[in-house]
Amino acid sequence: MSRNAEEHLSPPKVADGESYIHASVYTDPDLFAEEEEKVLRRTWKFVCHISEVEKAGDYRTHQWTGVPLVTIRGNDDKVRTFVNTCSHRGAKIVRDVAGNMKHMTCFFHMWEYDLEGNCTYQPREEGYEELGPTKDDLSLREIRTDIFAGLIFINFDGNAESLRDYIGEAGEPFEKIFNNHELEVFHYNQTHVKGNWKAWYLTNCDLYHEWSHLVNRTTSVLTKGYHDRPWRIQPNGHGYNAHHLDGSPFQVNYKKYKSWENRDHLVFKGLAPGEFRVTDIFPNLSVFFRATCIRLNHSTPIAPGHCIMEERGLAIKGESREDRRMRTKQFVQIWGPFSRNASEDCAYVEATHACQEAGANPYDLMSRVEKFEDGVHERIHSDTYLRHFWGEWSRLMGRPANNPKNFMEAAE
Amino acid sequence: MTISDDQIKNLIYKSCRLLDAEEFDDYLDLYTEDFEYKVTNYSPEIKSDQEWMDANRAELKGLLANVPLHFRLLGSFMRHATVYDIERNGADTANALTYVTIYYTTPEGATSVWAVGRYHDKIDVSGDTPLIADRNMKLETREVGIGTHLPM
Amino acid sequence: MPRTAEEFLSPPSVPEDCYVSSSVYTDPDLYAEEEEKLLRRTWKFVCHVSEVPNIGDYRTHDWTGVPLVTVRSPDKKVRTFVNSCSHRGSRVVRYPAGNMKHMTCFFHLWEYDLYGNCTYQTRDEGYEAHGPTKEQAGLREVRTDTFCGLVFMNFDGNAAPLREYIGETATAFESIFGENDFEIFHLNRTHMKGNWKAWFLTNCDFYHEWGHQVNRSTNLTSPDYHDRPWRLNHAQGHGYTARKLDNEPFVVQYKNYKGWKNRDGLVLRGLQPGELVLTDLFPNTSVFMRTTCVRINHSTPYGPDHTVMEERGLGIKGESEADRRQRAKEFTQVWGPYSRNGAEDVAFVEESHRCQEFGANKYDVISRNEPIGDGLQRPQSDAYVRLFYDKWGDYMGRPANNPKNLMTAAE
Repeated sequence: MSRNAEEHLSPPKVADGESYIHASVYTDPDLFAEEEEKVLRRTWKFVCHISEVEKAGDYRTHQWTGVPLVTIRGNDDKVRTFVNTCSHRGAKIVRDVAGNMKHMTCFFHMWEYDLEGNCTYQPREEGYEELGPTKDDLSLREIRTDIFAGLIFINFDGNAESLRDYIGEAGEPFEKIFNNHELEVFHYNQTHVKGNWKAWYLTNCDLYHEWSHLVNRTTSVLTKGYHDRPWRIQPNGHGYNAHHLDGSPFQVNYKKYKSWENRDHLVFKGLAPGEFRVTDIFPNLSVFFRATCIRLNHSTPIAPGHCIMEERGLAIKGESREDRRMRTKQFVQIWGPFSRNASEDCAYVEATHACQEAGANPYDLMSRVEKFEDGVHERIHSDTYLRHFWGEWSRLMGRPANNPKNFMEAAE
Repeated sequence: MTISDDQIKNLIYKSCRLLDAEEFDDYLDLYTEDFEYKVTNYSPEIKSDQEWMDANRAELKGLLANVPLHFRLLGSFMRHATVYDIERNGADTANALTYVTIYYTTPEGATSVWAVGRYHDKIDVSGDTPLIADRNMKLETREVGIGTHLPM
Repeated sequence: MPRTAEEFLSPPSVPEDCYVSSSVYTDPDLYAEEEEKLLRRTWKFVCHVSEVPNIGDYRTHDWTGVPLVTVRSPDKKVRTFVNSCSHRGSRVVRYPAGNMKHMTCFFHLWEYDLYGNCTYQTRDEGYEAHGPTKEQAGLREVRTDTFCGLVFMNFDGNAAPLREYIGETATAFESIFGENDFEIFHLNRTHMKGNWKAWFLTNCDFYHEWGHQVNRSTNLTSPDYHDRPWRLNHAQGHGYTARKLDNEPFVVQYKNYKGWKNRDGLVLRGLQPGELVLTDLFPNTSVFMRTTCVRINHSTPYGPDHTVMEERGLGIKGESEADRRQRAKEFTQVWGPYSRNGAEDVAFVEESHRCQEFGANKYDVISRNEPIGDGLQRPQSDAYVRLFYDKWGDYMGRPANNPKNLMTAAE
């Protein structure tokens, strides 16, 4: 039966309140503002790979919760992040996306900062003798920056636990493999997505939608053992799926897609031929392995209905041109703007957002349960990770994801 | 018989028309057997050139055969091309440089510029008709919305 | 005398129902309230039945931002559903029009039949523990009804039936639609930087015919132009102009426009050569008949300052190619994006909005009065515009001439 207005607007008839959320978490501007404060500025945010800031003076600019930032390798080899705004009149200092610099010069009045964020030069500084400030009062604001397995992260919150503690066991599927090689970024693209950053991230965490990708339908879903992988749920909102419950790897049959070969050459050390793994780091980083390719995927939220998604491909530094070309070819078959899967994923998020924005679907279901015989682990088409994500989100926000606005009203 | 510049231009324009019309079999017939097709660009973020599509005949054929099974961006593309330069490399090959603007039209009929770039083509002029031996679509545009499964 | 700031900002010296505050065209709060109190409680035109003639034929559209799909079910009934999957909320049907056997969401491949029943959940064993069952996951259906081949929908389950809503206003077009077997041959949409009411009222304000060269030369020169009365439906807010008081048709002199001929061939059954009939259905649908052509015009609001206007042309099903060509030619002389009038009307709305938006004109004057006897008004009276705003005030619970002050007082 089709549903009438009352049925459509009532909470879904599922077993518990963790099996659905309210769509306002994707669209409400107040919740978005609060998220910036309570979630995005209090958790570790992925910035870039260390190969992007290899030498002293190499920098990458980016932004988080609207704040312009610059991440730069100092002369002491340490990677730091600064709020990218001059202490004088507040202009954005470093204006390009990436590059190398000896020091940072603000283009407005030529004030200068060294790579450690100290203010080193004020033109015609005698003008400050009477009223101040002195250069010592004018250092850039530094943001906590740390590195895990070559991935650079920042955290606005000085009191947050260390990056290593934050990631914890969730590093297990990728840390060793990342450390087995010297990696570098060979692919980068960004896409403005008309949708919420969480919806983007959760598309990476929702393997049930593999039914819709022709690639996954042909090469993965129908593969023996596909459903025998468990979700490994980790503290702090993380999770991953990698090997089967019996410890054997999940191997994708790439040759099932017309004109593709299996991936048994150029496989990263520590992975089996064709092996697939994905690790989801709260709040929005996904680390994918597809035997020969590594993809780092995260997004920068701009507004409730707007995020900028970034994809990075990692390869082995110094490999031969032929090897790099083959690795690149395999990467862009599945990921990137001309790939089979990434554009499909963007379409899911945008088509969903188009409805949520207008209240056309007030709820988002995450009631799938597919338990293993052990009664504990859940299979990969279970929504267990989605529920875990929203549990962590609710905890940080102090609002239940299935009813965040009513809670708001009650609190007022 | 020598292949004229006009024949080369017509080949390149035909490749745009056939791709617009999604006549993939005829499109592939414009290429040599062992051609290489690439979509590339330069990323200032990682300070290097990169390839976003890299396919030979078998791979492009496989992809184009699968296109109807994938779902994708709805609407249509229109490629507007101008051949700026043709340079002969002896009797058998020529290099052609073509500026391309790709317009995207939604199913509701709204049009916008989707991407701009340049075809760097190697043309095989050794036979009776010219064929594309290699194509590198060097994109200027790196933000292409949700992206596409189609070659450009 | 030019006016001082105070004079300019004070209400015009006309009776209270003879002006409206420009905020009704620009204020985001009023717009949000309109969606709730007016646009979701009145019957909204969707499309012509000839756009969904066969089982499985569909049209997608939006109303108050909500994506919708209107489809002909296997029982031949036309139904409308909120076009959003019950699972993760994705838009299900993504193309403007087509034919389908069932609706498949492209995200996780859930399926719905043409009655909105959920018929397939991929790998449904995953829902055994927590639900929902397929029975609980149907699409939300929105009330849909058809009158004279025009498909309408209404979010409000308690609203009066469509036939009752249209009421006696049907007189103007019911018999003509009954005598001709129509099909759509023209469709165009225009994004407009203006308010949906301003667009609709351009269709209802004959006084602006002075601004169209076509109307100046072919209509206003007719001695009996002013002899037609507005026929108002006070209960529902509709109105129409058709026959003159003596029941003779009002005949447009098309040949007075350089290069045009009079319209005395291909005349639609029920109309006289050159006859013009216009019906305005609250809140935003206009049905025009210009002898040989029918134009259905309505709009979809996306915000106080963003309106997508749609024009449809209807011709006779099965007519010869030559007849259709002539009919289409006559249609697009007056309407459509390359026509004489369509483009001019959009400019009227955008130029008004450009001023209202920044408070450059605080009031919209609708005080024209031209009695024709029997309590009726001539076409260039603002009688219908006043009726429209009277109804608007009823739905909104706010007077159109002072909607924001009332808001302040109420708080």
